[in-house]
Amino acid sequence: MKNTQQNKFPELLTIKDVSTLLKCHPTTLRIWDKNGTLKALRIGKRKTRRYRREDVEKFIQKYDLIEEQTQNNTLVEFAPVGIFETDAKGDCLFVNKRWCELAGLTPEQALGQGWVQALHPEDKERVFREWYEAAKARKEFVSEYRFRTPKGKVTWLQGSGIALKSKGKVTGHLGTITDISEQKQTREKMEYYSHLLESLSEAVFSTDTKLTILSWNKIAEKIFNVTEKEAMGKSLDTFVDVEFIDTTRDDAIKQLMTKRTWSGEVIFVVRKSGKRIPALSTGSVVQDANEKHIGFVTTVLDITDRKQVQEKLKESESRFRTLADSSPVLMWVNGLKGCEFVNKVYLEFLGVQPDNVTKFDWAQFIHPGDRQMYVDKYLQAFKKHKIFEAQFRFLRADKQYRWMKSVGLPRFGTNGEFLGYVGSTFDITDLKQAEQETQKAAAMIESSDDAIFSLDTKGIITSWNKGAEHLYGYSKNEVLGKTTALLMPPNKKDDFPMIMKQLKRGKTIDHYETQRMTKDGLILEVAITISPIKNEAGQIIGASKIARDITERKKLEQRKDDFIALASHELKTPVTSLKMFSQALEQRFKKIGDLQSAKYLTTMNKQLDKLTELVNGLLDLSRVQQGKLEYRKNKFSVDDLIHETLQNIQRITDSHKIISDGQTRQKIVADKDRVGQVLINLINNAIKYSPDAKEVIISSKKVDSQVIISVKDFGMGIPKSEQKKIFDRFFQVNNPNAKTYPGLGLGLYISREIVTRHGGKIWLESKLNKGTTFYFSLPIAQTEEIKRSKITSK
Amino acid sequence: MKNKKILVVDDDEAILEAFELTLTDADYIVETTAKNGTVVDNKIEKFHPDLIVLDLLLSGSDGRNITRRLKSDPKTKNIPIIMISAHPNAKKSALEAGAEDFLAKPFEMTVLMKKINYLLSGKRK
Repeated sequence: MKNTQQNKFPELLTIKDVSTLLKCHPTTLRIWDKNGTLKALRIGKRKTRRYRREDVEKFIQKYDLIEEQTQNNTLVEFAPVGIFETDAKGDCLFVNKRWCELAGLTPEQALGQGWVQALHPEDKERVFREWYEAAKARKEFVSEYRFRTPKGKVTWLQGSGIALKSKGKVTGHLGTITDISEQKQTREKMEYYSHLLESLSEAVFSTDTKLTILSWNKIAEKIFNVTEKEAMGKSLDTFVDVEFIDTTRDDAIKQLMTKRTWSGEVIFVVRKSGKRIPALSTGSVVQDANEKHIGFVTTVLDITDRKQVQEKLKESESRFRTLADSSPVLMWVNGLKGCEFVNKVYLEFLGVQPDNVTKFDWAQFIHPGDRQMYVDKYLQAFKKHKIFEAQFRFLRADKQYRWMKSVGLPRFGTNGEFLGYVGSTFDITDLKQAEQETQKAAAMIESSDDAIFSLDTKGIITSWNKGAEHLYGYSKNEVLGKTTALLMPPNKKDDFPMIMKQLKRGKTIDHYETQRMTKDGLILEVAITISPIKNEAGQIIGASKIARDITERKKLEQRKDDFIALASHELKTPVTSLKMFSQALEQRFKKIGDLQSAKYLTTMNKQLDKLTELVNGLLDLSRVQQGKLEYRKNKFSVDDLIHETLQNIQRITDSHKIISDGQTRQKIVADKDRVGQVLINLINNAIKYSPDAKEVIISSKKVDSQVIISVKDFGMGIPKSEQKKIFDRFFQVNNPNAKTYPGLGLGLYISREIVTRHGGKIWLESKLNKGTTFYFSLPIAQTEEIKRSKITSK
Repeated sequence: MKNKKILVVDDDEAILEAFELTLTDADYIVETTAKNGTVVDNKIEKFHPDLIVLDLLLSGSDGRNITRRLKSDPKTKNIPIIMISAHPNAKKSALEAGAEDFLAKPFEMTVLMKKINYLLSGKRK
C-alpha cells in the first residue's frame, strides 16, 4: 500500500494532495510526533501552495509512526465539543481546538494549571476548587460555569470529567466542555417568561389548534374563578360569549393561522356565575420545530374597569357637551396646543362657524387694546398651571364690543399631568356699567356738599361722607359705630325714637326740618331726608340720611315770611277801606233807588273779595311751605260749619244753588276756620268749573270713626291723567278748548295740606263732561296720626 | 241803635274815613283817631264811647296794650272792644288781651254790623 501511494505521488503536491494523503482538513494540518508533540501546524488557505515531493515523503515516514494516533487526534481535534486531558493530579495535558476556541487560549497556554485562566472570574475559585477536589477524590466532575476569553467573550459551559484508569490505577482525567449558552439563555428566558406570565395582570392560557385548553395561569384562575386543573382539557368556547363564537371566532382563527396573531375585544363568560367579562384579547400561534402550527396562546386583559371608565368618560363627555351647549355662558376647552372645544353659545356669540375649532384664530375677536394683556395673562397662568382670569372686550356678532370675563380652570390628567384649561366666558357689560354707575354714585356721594350718611337698624352710623364731616365737624373715624343721637341737640332728643320708629316701618321721612348739633356744640337748622335701605329680600337693613344745612335758607325764609306778612298787611289795608266804601256806597245807592249803581258796587265788592283771597292764599302758601300753618283746634259741630259756610257763599252766588244733603250730627276737634277754608275752596272750585250747571251739592255723613264731606258739581270733569296732579302746587286743569279760569292754583294744594294735617284724606271722583265730586274725611277723635303729624308740621 | 257812640282807632286815615261813612250811615255817632296812647285816653274821657273798634297793630303802640289798660280800668272796663287786624291769625291774641271780639281785615260790612249790634244790644252778659 505504501508503494502504490509512493508511485502515484507527483513531483509537486498541492495542499489537497497532502490533505488527502494525511486524511486531514485541507486548510489546517496538525501533526503530532510519536511523543504526541505537535509538529506540523497550519498550512494556510493558499490552495496553490505546493510542497516538494521529497519533503512530503520524509513527512510520511514519520507519519507511519504516528498514523494511528493522528487519526484519533484528528477526531478529537475537530470534535464539536471541547475536549481536555489531564494527568492524575488534574493538570492539563491536552486541549482540543474547540476548547481553545471557547477559552480563547492557545493549547500551550492551557497546559498545566494554565487552563484556569479561561474561567470567568466569578466562577474561577469555585470551579478550580471543585475540579481539583473531584480529581483528588477520583470522582466524576460535573459543573456549569462560564469561560471568559481574554477579549471578554463569555460562554456558559457544562463541563464534565472522568478518571482514566490503567490497570486499576488512575492515570489521568478526560473531560469535555459543551457550550450551553443558548440553553442557558432559553432557560433564563423561560423562567423570565413564566415569572412574567404569572406577574401579568392578564390571564394567559394556551390551547391546541382545536381550542382545547392546555395551560391556564393564575390570573386566568382568578378572573374566571376556575383552577388550571378544572380548565385543562375543556374547550375555550366554554368561556366565550356565544355571540363571539357565532360571529367572530372563526375569522379570528383564520387570521391566526395566516398571520400568526390576532387581537380584539372578546366578551368572556364565567359560566359559574354568568358574569360577563369584556376583555382585550390577543392570540398568537405556537409552532413546533418544523414550524407546524400546534396551538395558540391567548392573553385576556379584563377591561371591565376600563370599559366602565370609558362609558363614564363618554357619558360625562356627552353630558359636558350637552351642558356646554345649553349653557348661557360661553364655554371652552383648551389643550396644550390651543383650543379643543367651544360650545354653541360661543360660536353664536361671535357669529362664526369654523370648520376646525382647533385651528381657528379666536384672539382676532378680542379688542386690540386688550388682546396682548389677554394673551400675556393666559400664557402666565399656563406656565404655572394656575387658574386663568381676565376681563376683556370681545366682538359680538352684532359688531358690538362686550365686556367679558374669562375664567379658566387648569385640567389635570389622572397622573397629575397638566392638560390645558376648561373655561367659561361671560358677559359682564351690565355689571361693568353698574360698577361704573356705582363708582360714579359713590364719587357723587363723597363729593356732595350735603351730609350723606347711613345707619343700620339700630341707628348706628355705618357710612359718613365728606359733606357730613364738613357739616357736623366730626371725622369719619369719630362717628362710625356711634348712634345718630350723637348729632341731636338736647331739645331734639325725641327725634331719635321717632326716626327709628319710622325707619323700622320702612317709611321715608322727607325733608324733615329740625335742628342738629355740631361737634363744637353749634346748633344748625337742617332739612333731613331719611330713606330705608332694603336688601334684595326686601328687608330693611338700615337707612340713608341726607342732611342739608338750611340755616341760611331759614334766615332767608324768615325774611321772606316777614316780607309776605308785611306785604299782605299792606295790601289788605287799602282793600279794607275800599271794601267799606264800596259797601257803604252800595247801601246809599239802594236807599236812593239807584239800583244800577248799587249793582256796580256789588261787583266791585266781589272783586275785592277775590283780591283778598289771593293775598290770603299767598300768605298760606308761604306758611304751608315752611310748615308754619297754624292750627287752633276747638270742638265744633260739623253740621253747623257746613250750614254757615253754605249760607255765606250762597249770599254772594247767584249762578248756582248750593244744596246741602245729609247730616253728620258729629262734633270734631279741629281748626274750624281751616276746615271752613277747605269747604270754601271746594265749593268755589265747583262753581268755577261748572259754569253751565245750576247746582252744587254738599253731602256729609259719618262713616265709622270719621266724617266724610263731599262737594259735587256737574261740570266739565277732570281727565284721568290730570287727577293725580290736581293737588300739586300751582296746578290748574288745562282744557285748551275751554276758557281759562282765574286763580293761582293754590286752593287744592292748601286744602290737602289742611286735611292731611288733621289726619284726614282728600280725594276725588270725576267723569269727563259729567262732573266731579271732591271728598274729604276728618277723624272724629284726635288720632295718633294727628299727634304724629305735629312732629312734621311744627 | 241810634245815638250810640263808637270810637274807631286805626293808623290808616282811609280806613277811619270809611268807618265814619259806614257807621254814620247806620246812624251811629262816630269819633275816629289815628293817634295812640294818651290821645286815645283823652278821647274816651271826652267822648264816652259805647263801643271801641281798635286796630291790633298801631304804629308806635300795640292795640293789645291799650285794650289791657282799658280793661283794667274800672271806668272803661265795661266798654266793649272789637279788635281789627290784617293778620287773620291775630284773633287769639286779641281775645287774650281782653277784646270782646275780633274781625280780620278786610271784612264784610254785614258781619261788622252784626257784631256791633250784638255787643250794643246788651244781650251779652
